[in-house]
This record gives sequence, structure tokens and C-alpha cells, in this order.
Amino acid sequence: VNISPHVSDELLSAYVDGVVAGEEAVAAGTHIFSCADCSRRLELLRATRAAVQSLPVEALPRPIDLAFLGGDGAATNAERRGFFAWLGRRPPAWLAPVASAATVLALLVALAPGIHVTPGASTVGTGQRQISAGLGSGGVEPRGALASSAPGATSNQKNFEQGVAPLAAAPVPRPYQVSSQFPAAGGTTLSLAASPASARVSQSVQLTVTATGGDSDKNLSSRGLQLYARHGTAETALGGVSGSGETSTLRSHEQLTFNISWTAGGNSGSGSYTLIARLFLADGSVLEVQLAYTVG
Amino acid sequence: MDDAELLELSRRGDGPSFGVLIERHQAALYNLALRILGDRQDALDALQDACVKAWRGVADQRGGAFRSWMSSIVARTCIDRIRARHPTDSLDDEEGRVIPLPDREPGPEVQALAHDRVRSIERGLKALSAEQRAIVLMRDLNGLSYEEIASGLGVPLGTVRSRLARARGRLQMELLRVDPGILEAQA
Repeated sequence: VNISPHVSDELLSAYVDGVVAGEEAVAAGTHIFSCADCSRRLELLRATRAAVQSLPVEALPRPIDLAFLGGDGAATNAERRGFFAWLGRRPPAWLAPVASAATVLALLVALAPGIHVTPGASTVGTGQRQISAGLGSGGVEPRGALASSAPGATSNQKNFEQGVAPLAAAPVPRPYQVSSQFPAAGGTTLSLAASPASARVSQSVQLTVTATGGDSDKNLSSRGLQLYARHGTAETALGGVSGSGETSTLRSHEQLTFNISWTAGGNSGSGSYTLIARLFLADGSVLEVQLAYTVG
Repeated sequence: MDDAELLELSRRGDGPSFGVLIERHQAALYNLALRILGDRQDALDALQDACVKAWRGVADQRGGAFRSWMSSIVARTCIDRIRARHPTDSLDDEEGRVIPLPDREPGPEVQALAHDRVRSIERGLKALSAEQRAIVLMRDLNGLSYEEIASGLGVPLGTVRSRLARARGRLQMELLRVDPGILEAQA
């Protein structure tokens, strides 16, 4: 192959991509090696490609609306593959005597050492470590800012503030159930705190969700960290942090904290609520923590 | 479950499987749309349209990775949207009449990551035609192969090679004009 007088732009571009083969590749490489002009052109072309590749990944303003998939696909997607997959399975033998998963959860919380339940506060659930193993440390203290229970979780703390809860999200049509069989999450924990511990209708409540990385980095799905309020069978999304860009990964022993102001009761009025935080991982699993909350 | 398995289920009409695929890749697809269109709301709308189109056509999807297939649909959807706004421009114009992209305020990610550099690269991309932008971004941002781009855009392989070279050349020229330091920093 004759390269004369220089490597063409088209060949150089293909050469940068490594899609030139055989004699053509040898001829191009030989010429570039011996030609200062073409070496410089190659360098600039690589830099141009690197510039495009260096563009930061931006988070979606909101997730794609999957309503077009129809009822089954729109209501659930990642959850069905991970968190809800267990619903279709037979429960393990040790669960058999227990009436409901929620009861199991409450029992595990009550039995687990190191869990701090503030008197008068109604904590029904806690992080992955406690739920899956039943013997973890740490827990939920609904009265104030919550420090992570994970040891050494002090570096790279990220905080995300959101002043007003977007309550426009459609309620999830089927009630969530709590799994006691989370996929192994390598010590990743999730906690949820509300302040004050109970509220009047329309009172502003400060909610804090903290995800703490475990033994290894965990990639988050695009849904990231999300917060919900359940009242009866209706569940409303309160907001969250999209799992992309800066928050695409929960790093080992890192804390990801999300603060949101919730108007207690919203449009549903007084009653018993369940506040729910979910951390959606890229492998399809979901970590969940629940907090019973009374709006008077 | 990997993409290929989910795609096979999607072909048989399994909506939740398709939803998982969308969720898994929506960030990359959104960023492709964002860089072609230059506007966040436009990009989100285009991605939404592309997802609906893809779901309607997934039964006929034959082979290839989901992300590549979906990237092509997103790119075509974005080009169509630009065409709709500027109907007098010809897609076959190899030199590509430049359709101005709107300026936009940088998001927090951009602010955090060398704002000036990012804006300069965005300005460079704006100097390209919609199709040139699409082909550069499909290759360099989303990592599609020449074959995948050719299949996705419905053009011969040689055309991909020549158009990509022209687009890169034009982008390089623009970057050297607006901020030569960018290429030196990347080199």
C-alpha cells in the first residue's frame, strides 16, 4: 500500500479507531512513525476524540416514563427483577411459622443487638445488614440526624438537599412488601430518620436518608436513592437522587446522604404512614428501610 | 440477567424486561441525546420518543447489543427532531449546514468538572451538522462500532468511515479555534 505523500484524513481517523488492518495498517503505521507532520496529526486527532470522551455524564432530569409498556411493565421494572423477584419464590422454612414478612422484620429489629429504638417512636424496619442477617449493628433513630452505623464511614460524604418534595409522582399501583431476603450487599447499609418523630398535618418534616458503602464499591441504577411515603395501599414518591453522574457509584465506606423536607400528610391527611427509602443497585437488587410515622 | 436475555424476553413482549433495559442504559442514551440536541428537555423528550419507538419495534429487532440498537434509534430520533425544526436542511449534505444549538446553563456536574473546558467542547460540537454530531457521539461517546453505526443509520460502512473522519476534522478545527489548550491538555 502506497502512502503518499501523507496518510489521508479518512485513513488516519480509522487508524485512531484501530479499524485498519493488514497491509494498509502496516503502511500507515510505518509512515506515521517516520513523518513528523502525520505524527502530529495523529496526536491531535486522538486529543479530539479524548475531548469528546471526557464530557461529563449528566443525570436525567427525571426517569423515563415507562407507562407505554402497559400496566405490568409500567408499574415495576427493576424491582421486579431484584427486590420483588422473591415474591414469586417459596419462602424459606424458617419463615413458615410467621404470618407476614413485616412481622418478621419487626421481630428481627427487636432481637438485633445494637439497634436503638427511641422510646415512643415506631420503627418497623432498618437497613440491609439488620434485615438480611438479623444480627447487624446500628439502626434507626427517628428523632434526629442519623450517623451511619458502618465503621469507618467518614470519607467522601456527599450531601444532597432538596427543599420541596415533588408530590406529583403517580402512586405505585400495588403495595410494596418487605423482603427479608435481600441479595448480598457486602455490608452496604441504608438508614432513614425523620424529625420530629411525629407531626401534625401540613407540618414540615425533615427526612434524612443515609446510604453507607460496604466492603466494595456498588454501582447504582439510574433510580439511585429514592424516598416514598405509603398511606394505606397508595405509595407516593417524595424525591431522590438519580443514580448517574456524581452519584453513579456508592463507594466503599462512603456516605451518601439525602435530605428532603416532607409536608406531613400531603394530600392524604392524618393517619399512619410508612416512610420508605430505597437504594436501587445496578445489579437489580434494592435495599430498603422503612419507618412508621404518625401524622396527627 | 444480562442484556441479551432481557432483550430476548422483550422481543416476546415482556414489558418489564424492556423496562429494565431502559433503566440500565437510560443515562448513556440521555447523554447521547443531550449532546446531539444541546437541550435537556429536548433530550428527555427525544429519549422518551425513542423508547416508545423501540418498544414498538423490538419484536423485529434482530441481533446486536441493546445499547447499540437503542443508541441508533435515539440518534435518528434526535436528527429527525432537528430536521423538523429546520426542514430546509438536507441530511445528505455531507458538509452539513450547521444548525445552531441553544446555549444552556451548565448543570452541577458541569460546574464541578472544568466548566470552561466542557463549554468549549460543547461549542465545538455545535459547529457540526446534526448528522456529524450524531456520528461522532455514537462512536466516541457511546462506543458503537463502525458496523453498528452503519446499520443504525442505514448507510454503507465506507460512508461511516468518511463521514466520521470529516466530522472529527471539523470538530478538531473548531476546538483549535475556540480553545487550543483543550487539545494540548488531552494529548
